[in-house]
Amino acid sequence: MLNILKWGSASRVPRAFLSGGRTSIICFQDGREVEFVRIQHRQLHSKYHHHHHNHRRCCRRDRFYSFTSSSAKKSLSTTTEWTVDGETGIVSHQGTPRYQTLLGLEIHAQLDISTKLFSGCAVGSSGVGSSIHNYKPNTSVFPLDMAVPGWLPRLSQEAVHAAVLSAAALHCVLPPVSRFERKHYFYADLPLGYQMTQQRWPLARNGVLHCQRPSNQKKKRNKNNNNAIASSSSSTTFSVSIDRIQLEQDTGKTILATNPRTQQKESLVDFNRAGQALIEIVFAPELTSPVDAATAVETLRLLLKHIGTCNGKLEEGSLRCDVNVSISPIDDNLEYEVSSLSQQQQHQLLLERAGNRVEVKNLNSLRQIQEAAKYEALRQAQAAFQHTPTAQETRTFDVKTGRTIVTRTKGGAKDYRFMPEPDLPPLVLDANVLDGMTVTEFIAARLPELPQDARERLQRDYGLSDYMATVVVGDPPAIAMFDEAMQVALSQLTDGEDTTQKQQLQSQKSKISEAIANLLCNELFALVREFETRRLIAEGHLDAAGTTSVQFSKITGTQLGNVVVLLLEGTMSNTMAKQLLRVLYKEHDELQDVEPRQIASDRGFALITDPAIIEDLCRKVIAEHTDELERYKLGGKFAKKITKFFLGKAMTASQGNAHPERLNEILMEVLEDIAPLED
Amino acid sequence: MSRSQLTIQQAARLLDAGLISCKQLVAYCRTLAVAGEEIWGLHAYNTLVDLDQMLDQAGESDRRRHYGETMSILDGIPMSFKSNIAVRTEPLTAGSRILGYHHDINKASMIAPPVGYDADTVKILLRDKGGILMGTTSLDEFGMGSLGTNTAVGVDGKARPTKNPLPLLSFLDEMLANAIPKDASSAEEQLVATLQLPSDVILQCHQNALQLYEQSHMGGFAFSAGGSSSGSAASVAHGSALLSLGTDTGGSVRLPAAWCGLVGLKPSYGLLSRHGIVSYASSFDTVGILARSVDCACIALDVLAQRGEYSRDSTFSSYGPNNTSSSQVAVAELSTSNNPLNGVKVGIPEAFSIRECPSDISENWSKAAQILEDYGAEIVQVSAESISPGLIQKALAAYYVLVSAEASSNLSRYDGFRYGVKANTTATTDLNKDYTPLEQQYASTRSEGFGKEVARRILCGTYVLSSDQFHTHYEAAATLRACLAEELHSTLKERVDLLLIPTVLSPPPHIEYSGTSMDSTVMFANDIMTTPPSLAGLPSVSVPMTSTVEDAKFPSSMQLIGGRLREDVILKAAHVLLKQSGSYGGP
Repeated sequence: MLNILKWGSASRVPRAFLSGGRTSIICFQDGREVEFVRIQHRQLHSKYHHHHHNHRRCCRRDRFYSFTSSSAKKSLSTTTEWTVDGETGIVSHQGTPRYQTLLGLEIHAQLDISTKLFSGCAVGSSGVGSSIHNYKPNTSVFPLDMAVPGWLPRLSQEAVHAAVLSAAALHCVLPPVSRFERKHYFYADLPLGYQMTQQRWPLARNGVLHCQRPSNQKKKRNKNNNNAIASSSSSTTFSVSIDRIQLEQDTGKTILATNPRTQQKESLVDFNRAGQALIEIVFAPELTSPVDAATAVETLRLLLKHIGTCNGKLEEGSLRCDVNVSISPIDDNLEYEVSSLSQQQQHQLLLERAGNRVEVKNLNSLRQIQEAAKYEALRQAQAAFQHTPTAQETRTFDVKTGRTIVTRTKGGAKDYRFMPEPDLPPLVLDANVLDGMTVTEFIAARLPELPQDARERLQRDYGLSDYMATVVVGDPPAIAMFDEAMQVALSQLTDGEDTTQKQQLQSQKSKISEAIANLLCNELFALVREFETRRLIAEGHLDAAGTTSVQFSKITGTQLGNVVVLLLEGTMSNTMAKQLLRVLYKEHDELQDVEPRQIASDRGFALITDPAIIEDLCRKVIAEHTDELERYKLGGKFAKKITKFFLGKAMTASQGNAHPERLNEILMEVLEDIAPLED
Repeated sequence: MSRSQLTIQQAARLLDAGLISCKQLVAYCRTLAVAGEEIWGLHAYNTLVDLDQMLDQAGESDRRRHYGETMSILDGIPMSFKSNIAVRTEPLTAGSRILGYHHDINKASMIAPPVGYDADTVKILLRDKGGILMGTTSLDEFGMGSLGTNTAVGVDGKARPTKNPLPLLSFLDEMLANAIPKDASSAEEQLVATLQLPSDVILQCHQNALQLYEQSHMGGFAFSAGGSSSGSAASVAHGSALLSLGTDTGGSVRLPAAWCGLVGLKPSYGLLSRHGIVSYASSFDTVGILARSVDCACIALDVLAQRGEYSRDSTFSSYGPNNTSSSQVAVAELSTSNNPLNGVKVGIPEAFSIRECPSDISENWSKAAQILEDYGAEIVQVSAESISPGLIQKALAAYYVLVSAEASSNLSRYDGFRYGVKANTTATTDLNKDYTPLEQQYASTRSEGFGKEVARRILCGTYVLSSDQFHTHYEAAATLRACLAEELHSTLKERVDLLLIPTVLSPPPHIEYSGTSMDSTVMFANDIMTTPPSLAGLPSVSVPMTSTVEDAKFPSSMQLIGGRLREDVILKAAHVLLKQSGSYGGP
């Protein structure tokens, strides 16, 4: 009866102290034995599915059903004449605008650091290519994470650093002192019976997130712009205010399972996640568009990923999103008033007239955010229209049906009994916490170039296209690599041409930058993913998804720049450049000190540019295909078709090494020579 | 000085001189402990370490001494720890059923397993300094109580209140004096002879002492040892431990020290690491020292106050790198000076002179002031403008609001799922039908696991933290705490070096009458003198003095309160008081 809880090697609490009898060994299909703290299912199964989000099975179901959202759409629109515009958030009845959707976001981001927030327990950060998801349940746990009496919290400085950088990236104000408080509630995955969080004195306040609408969205928006209450301008960018950012602890995970012996359903608790560092980012209720809400979440996700404070994996729950939805009536009066008001005043008016707010918890994808916001807006609009307004409550989104379900009503609202945390002194952002620096110095030294700035710089300085700049900036280490490659290529390709006109240089630059971006984004990312996945599998991470960050690249920016030089000076074709990159990657140990030019010539990665050789080639190919030559002679579309045919054959004959443009020119000349066509 | 008990210095001298071995010392102390538990029914210990195990450790200490490798003056000294302090080899129960406390002195049937780690303070005393563990001592459940009577029910279904050993000690002394060989003439020879008495003789002496006591005019009443560190005080007073660590939240070390005739030191909040302490009210909890003399307390304090070193407690505060204030040094200076308290200003705060103060306590208070003045101190009346009586009167209420709030929070982790004892839910059909099964499990585990007083404080704390009451109760109490702390801090910074007040205004009550029928708010009144320094986080020491009442059975203790981290000043004054007030612990 007494199974022993397997306890992390770092822990010094004997297994026996953690009571026996309540743990069980679960055998997974792949033979792994996993131990959990076991709780009878009926004990956890509550009438309202509290903390539904923590059930891993739900997550799996989400993943599984994430593409079947068509059913969700059906339930939103077919039954009534009510519609909601995802772009503007306007709810219309039989085509008449009636309500404006108002949205607020609350986002929990798991900080990508090496320990938990207060216990010092190691959690693999993504930097080492493994994460807590690879740990067996209840093995990455220190005594404090299990609330063993006598253990006290000690704040991780790494967590403070990551939180400060996140706040700085969101342009927040950082008060010199913030404080921790305890938020109390009972649940099996909350070992202390309270969450250590920040409430009245948060780490940061009053920030802003600048977002860019996806380009396809812009066109649609312009089309709809004739609407009077169209929430925001038709510009491609928009901003959302951040109300506050607070540091807090994560909870454990509750997992539904069937006991293999008794076949009874039970809930298992895994405390690996308990005590991990989170930041909660609370947005001001300024958004009106469900699509914009999703864009804001994605922008935030990329931003945090970019500065390296959160790995941003929505599907793994390292970024979790709650959305607050309410509606505000649009009537003729309002429209009249509105015309003379500023946009801000309009919004304020909408907020004042808004109905009860509903919080939809734990949305796991951008699509869910939009669907949940739209569903809620429609539900609330219909109820308000029939003079039975909806109540303030907490809901969860059911992916299967596309509906939201009540989890807690206002009457059942919890009193969290906030209390100052007596075990932790106030958090003072000074040299003691920030590696000897002031906040300003710390941010200046540690905050990397923000994605927006980097994107603008790449476009401005190198003439890179918007799209390519976005892709490069998507992986922060790629920016540095890009800069390095650019420098190498520029110095070689523009060498001795200082008299060249500025305009020419600029066009040369954009040619180089496009070539580098092309190889980087299309080839190098793929290589990294391929080889990293292989490495992780070899190291025993069976479920390793690999990574595409060039942080793990075996090729340096200088090498990349040199390859691009070879490509642009015409020594190599695109195909050869790709092959060369693969060789450099695969044999990086032996080749890292060898010039790419040397390798290219050693391995025969060189284009045939000699006109005599190419002409030879062409004549040979034509001679081998007399039938085709006859058809060519018919002229017109036949000539065009057959020219292409010869071109292909000649290229094959050169084993792909012929310089494409030269080959084309020379083939035309040869054909003209052999079989001149009449006009 | 009573014969059965030793100070740390006495023991160390006997050990260093080779007059006794550590094995003999440990065997003697353990025999006292066994006699105390089994013959006298003191209920001082929750667990007692096996004799063999103790003798092994004593043997090692003897070996170290032989090779001149003693770890410190505490090497080989038997000591005990309150059961809410983590000792690796013992269960950590805080005396609560919910943590598996199920009293049986033979650990064989103990439900709770050893906790497996040492508190920071325990690690220092036992692992780094060579102290020898006697056992863990009884307490009011989770430290909540003033009488040592809020204990969980034992195996036999009976409560186990801790008994005050003082009334029995004079009889024991007499018995032991008769038992030792007559040729021992000097005090030291008599002491050594006592320590070397065979255990059956010692047990017999206890038996006889008990009989004499029961026939005496006191009729064998049992008196409270004070709480909540009741067992720690009883073990040191009896002599089975030469030092004990307790915890003091609002007087839990000073009150039992006062009633058992010991020195009880509550250091500044944060000076000793709270790592390994079962939290009760985190912003008040301090590890406290119970010892027979001020010197003993100084030795322990100097060792435990890790100057600027690593601690696993974020609220830890050291003396600071520039402050070399060693309380031992401060006390040692006393012997070389005629007026050792020259320049020390002792404040007598008017605000603490309350109507309920009995005349004998007032007399003793004046006597203490006189002694301090005789030794060079300047006595200063601290007026109501500096420390307002209004705040002091409300301090107790504020204290109970705040500790209850913190207790309700700290104790919410005990749900029986991860450790401790879980209730059987099938027996809980009478619970609220609106509960989810999980909530039912919590409710039944917690109502079965917590004692009445603990449950009362959790409910009270939950109430004052609820959003309706937070401002009127919790915040009001916190504000009062801040004002009081400010007054005490500034008085101790600008006007005086220490404050002199009584520790408690009444002698220990009979425990037959307490616990069962005594109103818990009446019990709170025992804390009226000890809570103000706790609210302000100031160091405070209780010193036993011979009562001015003739034929008094218990000492009358005074309390010295110092500025933050000024333990040296109050211990110096305490040393003078203790030395000059004559002996304590019975006639």
